[in-house]
Order: sequence, then structure tokens, then C-alpha cells
Amino acid sequence: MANQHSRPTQRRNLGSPFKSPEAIAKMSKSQNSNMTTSSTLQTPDNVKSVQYEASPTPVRHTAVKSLAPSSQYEEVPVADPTKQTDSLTCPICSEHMLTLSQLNQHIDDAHQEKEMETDSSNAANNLSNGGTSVGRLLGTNDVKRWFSGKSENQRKTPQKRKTISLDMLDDERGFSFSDNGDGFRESPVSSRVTSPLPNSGNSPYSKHKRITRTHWKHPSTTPLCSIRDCGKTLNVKNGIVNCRKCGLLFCNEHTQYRVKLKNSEDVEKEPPVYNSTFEGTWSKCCCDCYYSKPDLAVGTQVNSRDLTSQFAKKRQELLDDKQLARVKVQKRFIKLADLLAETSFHERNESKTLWGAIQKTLIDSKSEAEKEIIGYDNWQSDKEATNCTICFVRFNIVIRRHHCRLCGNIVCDDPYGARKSCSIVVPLSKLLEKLHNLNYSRLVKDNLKTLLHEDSIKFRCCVDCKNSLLYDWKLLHLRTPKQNETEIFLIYNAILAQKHQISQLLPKYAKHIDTTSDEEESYTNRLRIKIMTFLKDFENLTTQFRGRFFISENNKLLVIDDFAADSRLITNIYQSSIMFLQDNLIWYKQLNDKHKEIEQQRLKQSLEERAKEETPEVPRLTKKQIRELREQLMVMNEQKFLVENMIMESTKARRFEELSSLEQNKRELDMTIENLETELGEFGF
Amino acid sequence: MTLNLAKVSNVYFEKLFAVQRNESSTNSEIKAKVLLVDKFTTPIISMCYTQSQLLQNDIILIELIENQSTLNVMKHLNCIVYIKPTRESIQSLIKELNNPHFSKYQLFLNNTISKGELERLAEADEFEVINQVTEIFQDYLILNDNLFTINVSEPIANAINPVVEESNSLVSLLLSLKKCPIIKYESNSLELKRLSSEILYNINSNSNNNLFDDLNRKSDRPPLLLLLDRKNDPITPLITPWTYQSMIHEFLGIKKNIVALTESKEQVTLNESQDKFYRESMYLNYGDLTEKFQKYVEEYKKETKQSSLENLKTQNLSELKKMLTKFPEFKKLSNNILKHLNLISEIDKEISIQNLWEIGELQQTIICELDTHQAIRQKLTEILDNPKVSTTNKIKLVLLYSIRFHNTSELQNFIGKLNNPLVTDPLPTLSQIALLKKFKTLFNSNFTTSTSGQNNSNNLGNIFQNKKININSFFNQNKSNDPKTDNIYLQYTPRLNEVLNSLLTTTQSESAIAIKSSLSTLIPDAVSSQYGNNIQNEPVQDVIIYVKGGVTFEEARLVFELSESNKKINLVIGGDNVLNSEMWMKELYDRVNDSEIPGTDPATDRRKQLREIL
Repeated sequence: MANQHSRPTQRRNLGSPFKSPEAIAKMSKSQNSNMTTSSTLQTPDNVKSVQYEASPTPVRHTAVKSLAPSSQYEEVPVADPTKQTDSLTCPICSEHMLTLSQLNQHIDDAHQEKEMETDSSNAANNLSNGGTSVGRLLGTNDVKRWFSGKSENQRKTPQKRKTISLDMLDDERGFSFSDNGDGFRESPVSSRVTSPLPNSGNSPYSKHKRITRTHWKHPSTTPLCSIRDCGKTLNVKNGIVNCRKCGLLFCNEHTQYRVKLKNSEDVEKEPPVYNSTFEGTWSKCCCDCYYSKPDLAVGTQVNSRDLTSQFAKKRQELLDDKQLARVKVQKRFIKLADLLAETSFHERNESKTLWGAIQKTLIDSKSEAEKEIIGYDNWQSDKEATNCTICFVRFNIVIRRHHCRLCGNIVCDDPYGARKSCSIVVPLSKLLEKLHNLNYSRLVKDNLKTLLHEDSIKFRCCVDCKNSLLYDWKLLHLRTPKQNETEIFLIYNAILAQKHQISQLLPKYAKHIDTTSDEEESYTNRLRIKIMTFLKDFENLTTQFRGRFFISENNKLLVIDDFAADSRLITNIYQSSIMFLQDNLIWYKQLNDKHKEIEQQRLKQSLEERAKEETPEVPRLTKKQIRELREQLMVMNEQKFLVENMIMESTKARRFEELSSLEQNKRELDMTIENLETELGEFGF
Repeated sequence: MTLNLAKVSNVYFEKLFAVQRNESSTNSEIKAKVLLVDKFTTPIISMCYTQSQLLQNDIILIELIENQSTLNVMKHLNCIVYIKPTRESIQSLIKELNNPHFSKYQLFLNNTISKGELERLAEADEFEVINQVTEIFQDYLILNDNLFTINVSEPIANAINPVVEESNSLVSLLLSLKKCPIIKYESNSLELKRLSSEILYNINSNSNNNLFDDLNRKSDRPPLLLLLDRKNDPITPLITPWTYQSMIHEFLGIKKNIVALTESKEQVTLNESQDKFYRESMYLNYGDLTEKFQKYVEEYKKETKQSSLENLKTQNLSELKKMLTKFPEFKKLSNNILKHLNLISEIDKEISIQNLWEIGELQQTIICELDTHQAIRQKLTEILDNPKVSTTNKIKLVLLYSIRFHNTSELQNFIGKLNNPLVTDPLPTLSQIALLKKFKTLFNSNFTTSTSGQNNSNNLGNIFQNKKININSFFNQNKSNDPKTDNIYLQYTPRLNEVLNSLLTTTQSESAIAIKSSLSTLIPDAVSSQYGNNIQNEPVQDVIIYVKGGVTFEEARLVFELSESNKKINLVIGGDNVLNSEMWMKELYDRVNDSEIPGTDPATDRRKQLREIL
């Protein structure tokens, strides 16, 4: 501090941090904008932050306040001439600069962070000293001042400058001194949304809004642009720009991008994060950070919505209801069958004797009994029904009312299916035939055979009841396919199975060829053979298929007449298998070739290695010694090989008890081999 | 690239047909499949995927769902149902479910289905055969990677409310790309106004279903749906195009990516993703195209020579083997060459028959005013006096002339020439004459933005000059090696270029401001809640363009070039149709004939009023 005090004028102009540093940094910008009117700019936003940053430091506050306007309009011209002629050096790290604006940029980029820290710590100290009540009071004062200050500054700021600045920004080209650009893109919305909050002028807020710079890299450490293939040295001409996201340094060309950023939770330690909502701030970034933004990294996103669960839930609800109805109808049908059987036998027995009188009572009792089966409440009364319950046709003299004997609803009779064939008279025998193993009453069960041949017993039921009654039978019936198709699909399913195997194994094979090492060699070979057999099988099946369903006529394949109806199906199946075979055979062959090549290469390599090992001969040891040692080594190697094989085998056969002793053996062999080899030295193999 | 339609179709193909190969699934579970489609999804499938692609995925039958009653019962097959959730298709599906022909069903819908319909299906599925219900959103046709058309076949034209259908289709596009956009439309068009409000309603109401919520959570700028009306740019489809795809469409006609060759009577499919040569050459101009094609043929020759059968006699067996495995590829290649040879020769024939070199040059000269008024009139008169030039071409020229330099007496003069049987054959029809007279008034009101400066011819050149510079500076990365500006036949750039430039940048040129003010903006709730309200005038990154009344391939090319030159922007264009000049002329005649009647018919007036209120 003392040192700085000795050169006050210079310090001020350079924006050194002897006053509230943040404020001065901003001021230096505005000075800059005064001097070089066209290249830099000033917005109310900027001025506002002057007040913001100063606010938490109550002691300094007034000083800054008084300084802010005066420095802009008075001090600068005085200092200007001297500065322009002198060579400029940074007062903090004494780096040489060409122009004042450049120096400003440098100070902003390189030194601001430290200053901000000291500033905020000072602010914290002050606050704790002054007590909370004072702080709050000051806070409210600040807001007021801020408002007044803002309007004041707005008046002062020339309108013209603002438009120029906007134009340049919108151009989206980079500037080397582009630091100022950050603030402008803050959409008016964000400031509008947040500014009315009380006490929002406190430092945590401003920190939240300003994208952190703790992660920025210092320019002197990396002189090159961080894009790998760029290779430009960073200087004034190419630009020295920090990416706001990753903090690395780039040239102008690679920082023409903008993303919306927001500070992460832990501002000090982590770089900012992407945030696309209005909370994010438009910030300059490098092209890597731009293209790795989540939406751009993914590229085209394709949408679909799975409704299966929703559908299944709904279906389950409805099915449960239906199941209930089916059970009910079935029960009623059993009762009805009993009733009908009983009355018919009764009728047959007594028809000759008391025919006339009993007939009438029987019919009465029968209809009563029918009502009872369904339940009197469910038996719809004729008066209520004006329309058919299924097709809603209005009843009249021609369209008569009929009761369904299974649900009691009144439906129309529609024997010709003109409407929805709402009800039909069903012979009992037909239904019994289809539903022969229901839990019928004894009477029905005993007489099932006679009843099956008795066509005269009929009853009326509506189409809904009929469907739910026959549901189970239909379900069963639906599963039995036709003869022709069974035959086609018998072969086709076999083909499909092979196809499945091949399409699973081939990629595996392709992968193994590239990665394979010596141990996996055998596995790869096995894979190859396996695929080959599958392909052979596939081919056989295809030819079998062709032989079964096609005949060739004038070099053309025709589907044989028995299967003419399914000709499209058959030709399609055949085509698809042929296509699959062609594609995969070619692929397989290519893979095989590649495999061979690799194998040969490896062989060559090992040969070369061996050749290399054999070449040098310098007589350190006598020839006889060498020969003896070599013989020993050879024997050892052979033994080791054998032991290794045994280990392999026993692991494969899972004889683990032998393993430990074998391992021991191998270790010993290794030791001796090593000893021999060191002894042989360059005379080894 | 956040807007790539090819990727959409690929992903959907995976969804639809790829077998979920779980390791756990046993072999017996793998079944061949039937594909049931309706009349709406048939073209979608047929345009995106080939038969062999389907066969590769074990789709061995494709049937229309309308014919479900005639199908055989095949319990060995699983079934994929891919339908548009219209009432008829759902009804057919319900019938099928009541009487299932196949073992298991996977249901795919190409647009959103209402809850009621879903419930109906659930009720109908009493045998529990459906094991998957998925909405995928592809209620549109993908022509190129960046070009789509709304599925306007007759059924939609006859629909009760075509605007709703149209908006549904566009909404499906938005959903498939996961975009919840700001909508901008040209405010002078009533149709667009209705369409845009319909879309907005769709988005806002759908957001209750959470469909549009959170779609562009990760993008910094909201995407834009730009609705344009063909009326505002009647010139682009009139001008003879000189790039490959456009020329094929202009002279031969592309219908759903299929070209019917008149001479050899065969049908040729053009597909960007499967035809490498086409992909590389579709945007090339005629000169570059022929050059490229020559190279292609030479390459082929070289390769075949290397391994032609004669040469092989000297070579060993392994070489022979290698060559034989390559043989199918060669065959494919030669087929491809033949296809393009046919196309190019047909185009060449048309160009020479119609005298198009001359006419095309004059068209460009007129519309960009590359010459003095006097000289242009001179040339036009010459061409009109040439009996070899066809009537329609003459009419096109006069139309272009009349929109540039409106002068009634001159026009009368030209019409007189056209009516002269000595130089014109056949004579223009009544509606053609009417069009010539009315063209200017018909489109004048819509044409103000670009004609305001163009009427005083001094400014005109400047405007175009300025525009060029604009583009240059904006895309200066690739402009230096771009020969197109030198090409006399490609001087004209569609109005779309201006519109896009004004939206993609914030340059405050006069024309940009004029264009911006001619667009109205609608912002869905989801967008404004994410980005705040002040987003209208920010430059945009992702634009989905929809040209009501028909798009041209020329504009698709423009969009392609724009997005190539600046990787930061993503563009997709589409329309309810792809126009060539013939179709557009027909449309123009209809409009002229329509415009003669109104005023006399009170019913149409009433309807107009009603529309106005709407």
C-alpha cells in the first residue's frame, strides 16, 4: 500500500487498486471509453456496477462516489499526454504494453481477480465490524443511491456511444479487448427481474451475476492458442482471450462464440456452468466449449413418446371389467342350459298327455325362471326401453323388442345384419359343442350327447354376451394356424435362428481380429469355425427352402402351385435370406482375409525377432560354454513350455489342486532360465 | 447440426424395425414381422426406407391396414402397426384387434393420439396382443436432409379443416426435432395467420400434456419457426433453375423422390442418403455437374479396367477372387452411372429444345437488372419475336419484366406480340393473357418490401449490390472460393435469403428492418417462461422454415449453402409442396381466374369476412 501511495497519479490512471478495486477497474474502462470513443463503450449497466461493487465497503464508499464522476471527466485529460508518450508498464507485474487500452485489458484480465478477493474480504471485515444493523441500513441506502446514481448516469451517458457499441457486439467478431463485452449481453430482463429485490446490491448477488474468473489462466504461462491445430501465438494481433467457460486462452478466431453461463454453486473452485434460461449471461467462449454444449454435442435430438404403460394400465382396467362380465355371463349360461335342458325333457315326456294346459304354464314358468337367472332387477322392462341398447335404433312395429337371455337387456332383432346384428337366436347345441367342458349341472352333463344333437333348443342372446361367452374358445381357436403356413414357418424359423446366431457372432469375430493376442488366437479360430458352420447351415436351409417352395422354369423361380396363395410371403422370405447370405458371406470373407494377414504379420514379426536375436556373436564366453549353456536354456524353455501347457489344461479342467505345485515348478524354471540368460548375455537366442 | 432430418428418419427406423436383441431372448422369440400401414404412412415409409432395408430387418410382408379383413391368419408373425391416428385408421385397427391375424402387435403412431382414442384401442384389445404403443412424430415427408414437405395428398385437401391438419403436421415436425419454437409469420397473409395461431394453440395446449415443456432446455437461443407465404415471392419458382436437383424437378418432375423418365419409361429413385454421387452433386450447377459426372465415369472406367475380365487372365487366382467379390459393387456403380447419365441427358435435351441458355440469361438479367432498361427491352423483344421459343417461356419472361419495370403500354405491346400467330405457337390462352395483365396487381401488395427500392431503377442495383456484400461479409469464410457469383445463370437469389439474413444477424440495414417489421411474432408460454419476454429481436440459430404454397429446390439449396457456410446456424426448410415453374404457372392461372370472380359472389365475401374475424 505504502509503495503505491508514492505514485498517485499514475496509479489512478492505470486503475490500480488503491480505492475500491472493482470500482476502479470499471472506471479505468470508462476512462478508456472516453479516450477511444469508438472502440469501447459504456452503458448504464457498467456504471451501475460501479456503485454495486463499492457498496459493501462503507468507509470507501463516499470516496468512490466523489471520485467516479470526476475521474471520468477531469483527471483523464491531465494524465493523458504523459501516458501516451511514455512506454506503459503494468504497475503490478511490470509487463510492457503498447497502448493504454491494452494495459487496461491486461489489468482487468490478470489482476482483477486478486483485487476482487481482497475487496470482498475487506467488505466482510467491515460488515462484521460495523454490525449487522449498520450493514442493513447501508444496504437500503445503497439501493437508493443506486437508483439516483443510475438516472444521473443515464443522463450523462451520451446516447450515441451506446448504439455504436451494440453494433460492434452484434457483429459477433472478436476483439482483442473484448472484456467489456460481457456486460452488454445481459438481457434487460435479467436485470429487470432481479434488481427490485431488496438488498440485492450486496456482494454475493453481484458475484452471482458476474461470471467468475477464478479459473482464468494467466496469459504469460501459455503463449499459444489452446486449440490444438491452431498454433497461433497469442499477442495483440491474434488476440489474447480467456474462454469464460473453461478459462483457457485462445486467439480471436476461436473465441467468436457465445454461450449463456451461470456461476456454479461453488464459485471459487468450479468453472461456470451452462445455463440456457434467462438466468444465464451471454459470455464469450472458445469453440470447444461452444460445440460441447449439451444441445450441440448431442446434435439432432429425436423425440418419441412411449405410451405402452399408459395403454397397458387402461387395458388392464377394462379387461378386469370384462373378465367380470364374462364370468357372470358364463354362470348364467350354465344355469340357462340347465333350465333349457330340463324344460325340453319335461316337454318331451309330457307333451303327449297334458299338452295344451301344461304348455302354457311351462312357458310362463320358463320365462319366470329365465328372469330369475338374470335377476329381476337386471331384466329390463319393456316400457323403459325405447331404443336398442347396442345400436340405439328406435323400436317400432317392425323393429321389435327382445330380451337377451344372458344379460336381460332389451335389444333389437336383426337377423340380416343390417345394423350390428344386435341379437341372434342361438341353438344351445352349438354353444355346448364349443364350450363342452364348463361346469354344467348334472342333468346337462349326463345328457350332453343328446343335447349336442338336439337342434331345436334355442335361446336369444345379444351379440355382446355371445362374444364374451365365446371369448375363451376364440382365444384358443385363434392360436391354431393353417397347414401351409406351418410348413413355411417351420423352415423359416430355423433360418431365423441361424440368422440370429450369425448376426450375433460376426461382430464379435470382427472385434476379436483386431484385438486378439496370442492367447485369444485359439478362441478367434474357434469363432471363425463356428460362424462358418452357421453360414453353411443357413445356406443349406435356404436351398432347402427354395427346393420346397419353388420350381424353376426358364431360369426363373416360380412358387409352386400349392403355395400360390402365399407366394408373396415366400418370395420375400427367400429374398431376405439370400440378401442376408450375400452380405454376410462377403463380410465374413473379408474378415477372414484380414485375419490371415494379421496372423502372417505376426508370424513374420516373431521370425524377425528370432533372426535378430541370433545375429550378434562376440566371444565373451568360449564357444563350448555357450553351447552348453544354450542347451541348458533350451531344455529349460522346453520344460517351461510343457509346464505352462499343463497349467492351462488343469485350469481348463478345473483341477485346481494341481495348479499350485505346477505354479511352483514354473516359478523355479523361470528363475533358472533367467539366470542362464543373464549368464549368456548377448549370446542368448 | 441440431436439425437433421436424415437422422430423424434413421432413429425412427431403428425404433420401428430394429429387433431388440436382448441376450436373454431365446431364439424362439425371434419372429418375422408384418408391417401394417395406412395410406398416410405408406409414402413416409416408402420415401425413407427401401424394400431391402425392410427385408434385412425381417419385415416380410407389408399390408395396408384398410385391407385387414382380407389378410390370412398367420400366428407365426409379429406385427408392426404404423399408422397416422386418424379416425379411419384407428377404426381399422380396432377391427383388426377384435380379430387379430398375427401374434403380437407393436403399435406406432406418427403423431399425437388423443386420450379418448387410446382408450378405445385399449378397450378393443381384449386379447392383449399389443405389447408396445409408441408415438413417433413423423407426419411429414423427408425429401432431403434439410427439406421436408407436409403430407398434402388429396385426403388432406378434402379434410374438413385443412389448417388443423397442416398445423398438426408441423407440430409433429417440431416434436420430432424436440423444438419448441418462437413462431414468426408474414403478417400480410391470412392463411399464415390462421396457421400460426393454430400451431401456437397446439403448442400451448399440448404443454399441459408436457409434450412441449422442456424441449429446448439446453439451447441458449430459442428455435424459430418461420412461416412464409409463396405469394410474397412469386418470382423464385418462375426462374429457370440451374442446379442439379432443381433442374431434375423443373424438367422431369420429382414426385416423392421418384422421377419417371419418359424416354426409357422407367422410374428412378433419388435418395440423398443412398446415392453418394447424388448427394455430392445435387446442389451443383450445370457446368460443375457435367464436370463432376465426367470424373465419376472416368473413375469407374479406371476401376473396372483394373479388374476387367480380360486383364485378369494374366493375374493370379486370388486377384480373380477379389474381383469377383467386388463384382456386385461394380454392378451397383454402373447402374448408378446409367441412372444419372439418363437424367443428365434428358436435362440437356430439354435445355437445348427450349433454348434455355439464352432465356435463362435473359431471366437473370431482367430480375437482377444486370443491364440497362433499354438493352433488356431490346433483348426481350428479340426473344418474343423468335418463333422457336415456347409460349410459356415467353410468358415467364414478360411476367418477370412486368414485375421489374411496370409499364402498361409496353406490356400491351408484348401481349400484342404474344398474340401474333406468326411468332408464337401455340397462342396464349385467355387465362395466360389475364395473368400477364394482372400479375403485377396480384402480387404488388405483397411485394412492397422488395419493390420499394426497385421501382426507381437507380436504387435497385444498389440494393442487390448491398445484399451481395452483406452475404460476403457474413459468410466470408467460404466466399473467396465460391464461383457462383461469377455465374451469370445464378445471379438471382431468392427473397428467402434476405429474410434469413435479417433474422440471423442483427445488422440494421434498411431492408432488414423492413423485413423484420413485416413479420409478426407469437411466443409459446414454454419459451417465454424459459427465456423471458425479450427474445423477439435476438438473432437466431435454429430456424425451421415453412413456405405455404410450395417451396422450391432452389430455396433448399440456398438453405443448404447458408448452413454449410456457417456451422453455427441450423436450417431446415419445407412446404406443402415442392414447386417447379410449370406447377407454379398453373397455380397462378387458377389464382387469376379466381380473382376475376370475387365481388360478384356474396358467399365468398362473407366467408372472407368470417376469416377476417377468425
